[in-house]
Amino acid sequence: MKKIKRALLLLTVFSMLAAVISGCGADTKDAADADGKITVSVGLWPDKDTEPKSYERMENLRTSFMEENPDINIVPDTWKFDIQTFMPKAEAGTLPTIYRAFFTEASKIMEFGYAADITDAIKENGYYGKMNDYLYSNISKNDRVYLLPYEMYSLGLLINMNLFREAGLVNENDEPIIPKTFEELRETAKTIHEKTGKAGFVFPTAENGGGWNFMPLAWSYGTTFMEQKDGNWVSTFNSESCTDALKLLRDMKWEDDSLPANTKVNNEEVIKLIGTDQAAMAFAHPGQLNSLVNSYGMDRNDIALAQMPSGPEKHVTLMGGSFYVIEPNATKEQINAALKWIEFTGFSPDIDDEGKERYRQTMETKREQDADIIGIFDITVWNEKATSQSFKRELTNEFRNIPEKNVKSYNDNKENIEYQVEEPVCAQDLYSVLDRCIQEVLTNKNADCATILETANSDFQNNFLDYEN
Amino acid sequence: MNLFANMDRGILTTADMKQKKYKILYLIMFLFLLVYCAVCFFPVVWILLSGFKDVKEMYAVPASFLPHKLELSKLVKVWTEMKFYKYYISTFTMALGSVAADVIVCGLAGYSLSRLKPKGTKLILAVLFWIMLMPGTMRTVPLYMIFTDFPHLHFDMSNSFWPIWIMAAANVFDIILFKNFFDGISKALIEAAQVDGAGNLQIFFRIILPLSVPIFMTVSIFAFNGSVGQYFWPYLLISKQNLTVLGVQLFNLKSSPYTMDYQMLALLFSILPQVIVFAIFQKKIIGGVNVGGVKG
Amino acid sequence: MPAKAGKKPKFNLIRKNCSAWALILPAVVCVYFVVLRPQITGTIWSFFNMRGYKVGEFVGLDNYRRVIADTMFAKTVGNTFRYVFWSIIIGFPIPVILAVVLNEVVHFRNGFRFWVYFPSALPSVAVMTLWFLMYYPDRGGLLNLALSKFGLDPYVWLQDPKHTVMFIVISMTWNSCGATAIYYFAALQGVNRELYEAALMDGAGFMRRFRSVTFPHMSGVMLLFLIRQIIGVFSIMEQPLQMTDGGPNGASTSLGLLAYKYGFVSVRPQLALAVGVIMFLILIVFTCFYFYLNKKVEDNQ
Repeated sequence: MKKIKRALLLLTVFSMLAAVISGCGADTKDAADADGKITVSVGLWPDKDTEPKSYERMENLRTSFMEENPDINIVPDTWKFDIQTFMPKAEAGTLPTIYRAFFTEASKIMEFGYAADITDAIKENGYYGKMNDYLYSNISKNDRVYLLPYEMYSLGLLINMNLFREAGLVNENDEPIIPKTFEELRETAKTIHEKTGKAGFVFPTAENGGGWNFMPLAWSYGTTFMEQKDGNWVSTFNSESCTDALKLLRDMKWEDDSLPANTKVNNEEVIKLIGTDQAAMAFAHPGQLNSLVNSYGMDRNDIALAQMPSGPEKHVTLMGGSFYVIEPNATKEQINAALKWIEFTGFSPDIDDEGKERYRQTMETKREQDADIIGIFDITVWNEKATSQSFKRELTNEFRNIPEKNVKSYNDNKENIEYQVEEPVCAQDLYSVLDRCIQEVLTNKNADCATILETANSDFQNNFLDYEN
Repeated sequence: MNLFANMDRGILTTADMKQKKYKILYLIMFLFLLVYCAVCFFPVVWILLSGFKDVKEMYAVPASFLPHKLELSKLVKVWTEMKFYKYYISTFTMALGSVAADVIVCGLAGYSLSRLKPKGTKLILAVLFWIMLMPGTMRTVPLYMIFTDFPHLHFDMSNSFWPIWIMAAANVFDIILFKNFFDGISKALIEAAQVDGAGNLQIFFRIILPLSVPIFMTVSIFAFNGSVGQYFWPYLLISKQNLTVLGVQLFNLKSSPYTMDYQMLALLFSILPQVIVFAIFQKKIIGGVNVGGVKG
Repeated sequence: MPAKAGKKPKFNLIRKNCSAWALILPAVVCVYFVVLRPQITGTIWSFFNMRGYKVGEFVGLDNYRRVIADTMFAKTVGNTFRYVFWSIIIGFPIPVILAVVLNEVVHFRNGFRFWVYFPSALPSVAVMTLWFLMYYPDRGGLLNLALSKFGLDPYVWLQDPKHTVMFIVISMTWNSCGATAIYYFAALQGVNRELYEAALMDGAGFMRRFRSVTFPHMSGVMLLFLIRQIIGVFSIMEQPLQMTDGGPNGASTSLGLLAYKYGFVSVRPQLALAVGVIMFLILIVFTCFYFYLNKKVEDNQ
């Protein structure tokens, strides 16, 4: 009797411990499973419950891919890149074979060795040499390529047509009258505020969004944020040009009152303000526009995207994007299988008839689902040597669901503007420093832009850059 | 009838109330409480009313506290559109698991430390006491590292409620609370049971448990309320949609794609569990504060 | 306890200890992993470099040097003390007054107690969201709505860098002071009635009775709560994280929030640990004082 009780007790304790341990067992994965298949786990897989449509599409793709390639086993993984879960996963070796990350993290990922060397693989399959030249410096280290750019974006000027119409800022063809320079942007914002009472322009200030949006503005005023002198990084934005850029925001807030009353806004809230007709203009890239339709129910006729205005020194915009990474422990077979899968999903410089058909089907589903905005051309990964480019452009035109006049300015002017990637070191830290500058300028009427930037510049040098040298 | 017949607790006595200045003082205090209570509940009422406005109405000039119309269907709409039932399910899973972990683990430990006193009890009690003293300011990062990559065994507990439950089980305060309570239970009863040949577990379940219903209730209610409302660790550790809890949903609310009226009704749905628990157990909760349920 | 006749006492002792330990074991394991280990490793790792969350090489005091040299550090320390200051000014006296008044007023006593406690029954994340919406800087916010009723312009509330800390403390006080007041209220039940009667005999008025009887009775508990509040507010992190994200321009960044940002936003956990240790050292002084006092108060009662 007693023995049984004691055994029961021990059992309880051990089962509790066992539950703790087994309940959260790590996924173990092998390069090849029992029947000799090559296993490739794919991150960013859509969640069955919350994104049923994309989930179904990806599952279909997976089935047909595995039918065509019986030696490859594709394992879905819903993990998507975020900096907090990334490092622990990378260290524990539980990253999916393929995942996607953002350009801001490129240098960190390569430096810490969290990406496999794919140079030989992409030379073999012909990707190498078909990517736009300005990309290579961002995806390679010591002449070896580690990252495969997936999608590129560049910032433009997002316009709420409702408020533009209300302020009389459209021509007889219902095309928006687009500000070409930042001075014109200020005037336009002022007009909108006077005519409609709403904010003419909204600029993010929180969660590093402010710094991120401030880049193209300051660049076009001629600012350089950092330079490498004798191998040491020196912060250089305590300049007159940067002060002028910051002054623009200050004047719009305190002289024109054309920014929103709420000065703590992150990127998501910027879109919300545009989507609910509370603000007329903001910087945005095409990827941010879908939620205007999906979450805020905006009519596509009321959305416009224009080219970034030009500044006194330059006409430049910020370019960024995401790239595929193959996890560092992947075998050569896994790398090749992973690239095969990537190509199968429709990502490749060249396109055959089958690929064309699949792409058309994707577009058809997209049109049916009516969720995305189709018809905006962003900058691309591939250069003119890639045959898929013109095909995709044609097809996009065919399936367009946003009026061409609304996005003409963004689509057509790809040559007269420079594309600059984010700063090479401590970009996120720079953004957080700049966030604070912008917050100060927008909350303190008597703020002195030059002093603020002087402090910020030395803060950035002292708190961050000094540790990179 | 004397309005002030039973003034026996405070500084003022029934006799005082015959004087005019004390009547005025009493009135002032009464009004002060009335105003204070209004400050306590008015924000919630405002949230409820504003939730029924649409966004344009919120910015209308002149502004009004009352919405144009009270459409109760909007509540249903927010509930279904924001999929609150999902958050409720995951939140209750998390909270009930925490309560169970807290009560079972701390209760058993408290019982053992109080009644069985195995060798080493003094040491354990001393350690627990010192742990209570120590501010937890530097534990967050190492704890996060333990949960995402368990030392030596290398498994990842993120995206599950295990970290939350383990933290609930490691409630040093409740262990001591239980121990102190069990210390107060008469020894004679237990010894009598021992003479009858009852084992430790039997004594625990047959004698201790029925006598300790009040302490278990108090600890459970406070553990439940504390757990339902937490967001920090779930926010750090859980990214899976179907495990998102109310607290995290609330934390993300302001940058969510929902407009302000939706946010307000969502806020109400999120505090509903605690409000109900409070309404039912108010005596227990208000009394329980004195057992030591106050947060630091 | 007497060993049963007929069995070996020694075996019995081990057996008894085993099952007793088994009951404690789960708690000890949990406490070890949740409290002890992080506490110890956290201190040790603050002297190491880290890559992501992987512990690297020993660097001595470098992390501390970097944290203290960070230009935000001094400002953050100042802000943290500002939180403590405002919580003493606002959050400390209100519960005391509330408790005394609650104890005097005999009408609707239960109703009053219910509503006074009500905000404390809400989770802090909900209260912060509630106040975030009340403080909303344009016309949508409750406080600006109230201002507009008086014909005043909207105010930016949390986004005024000069007062943002105070506004956060007000919302925290709203949240927590009910529970504290109820605690004081309970303490007031223990006042010896005879002392009041004696004071009454001397012809003491309300204020004198309060000063000579009520206040001395409560002062020990009040002091305890004051220190407890200082300890709590000193490590404040969740409230500014949710309401202001530390802004505008760092005006509401506390040491706790700074550590959070190091640890989870810019992913330099070694710096978060260093900040944590610095906070720990400051707080341990307060804590020791608290327990010294606690013992004294308990001895008195």
